[in-house]
Amino acid sequence: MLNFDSNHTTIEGNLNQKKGKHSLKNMVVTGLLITNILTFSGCAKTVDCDIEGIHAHYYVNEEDLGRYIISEKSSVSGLDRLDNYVYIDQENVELLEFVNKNDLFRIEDNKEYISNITETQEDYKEYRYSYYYLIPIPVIHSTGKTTFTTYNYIPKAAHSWTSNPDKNNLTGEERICHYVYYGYKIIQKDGNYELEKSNPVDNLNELPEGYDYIKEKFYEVVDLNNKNEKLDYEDGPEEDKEIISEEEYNKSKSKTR
Amino acid sequence: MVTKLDGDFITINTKDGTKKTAELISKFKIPNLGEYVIYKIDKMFYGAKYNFNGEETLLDTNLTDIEKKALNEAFYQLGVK
Repeated sequence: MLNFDSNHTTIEGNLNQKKGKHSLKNMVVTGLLITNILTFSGCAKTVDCDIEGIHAHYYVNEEDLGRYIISEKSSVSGLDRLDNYVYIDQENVELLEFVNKNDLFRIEDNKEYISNITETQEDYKEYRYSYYYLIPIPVIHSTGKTTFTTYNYIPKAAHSWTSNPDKNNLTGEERICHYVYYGYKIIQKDGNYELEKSNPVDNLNELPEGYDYIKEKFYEVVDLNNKNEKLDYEDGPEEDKEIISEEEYNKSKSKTR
Repeated sequence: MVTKLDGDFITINTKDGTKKTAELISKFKIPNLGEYVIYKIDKMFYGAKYNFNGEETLLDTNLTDIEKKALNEAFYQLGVK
């Protein structure tokens, strides 16, 4: 049972920038005209709807990223149906289906979702560091009747990047990680719709005219000095690597010489 | 690189001027009603309506029966223990 404590007056900061431990998948409250949410499309049910004429309901994900879809399913493409709807002209039906097929979202309709993400995205610095690990080399032994395998370990040095300026073994090299954004333009060619991706821009407001749509993930992290180098990946040693200290590495190197 | 957090902690200000650290369990919007938060302090769960006014997040615990019912339903659906 929940408590409602009237002594609690405010939360410090902007709660919208915080992340909860759990997210709500379903929310149905009897007697209220609210969203009927089913999370997985595999469980999607057809919702009763009295609206006549061609119309599209608004579908959203958990972060309120949404678009209009012509459907009465409770869930489509991982988005959940709201009761909000708009009437659609016959000539726009195909366009809306194209938008849905390509998983696009109108920038104009999703400004809050976009600003929630972009307002925290500032350039940050990363530092190159060295790490050391052992590569196991299998050696097969045979005694005539039986065979068995042992491993020789070869010490190796590798490099990666960290945002921790106090990490051990920094090499002194630095890079600025920078966010760039992409938009999409829908063009009509020979009676068909086609999608055109924009060049990367530093701010979605800088998109050229006509680039009115985004995908759910509409940004990349790049090296500020080389914007073609995408940095949006998990850096560092792989999990299965046997990491050793620099001291052990130097000791192993001297033994293997 | 981006680190995914299990959940954030928040600071609750109270009428008597004290501050309490709470675990943010969930926040969500109920269409046509507003935005709500569920948080945990010392093994007790609390619910409130919230509104960010540009500077701080105001809490409203003077909720209607419908809102309380909705929050309790949400709480049970979260399956929090």
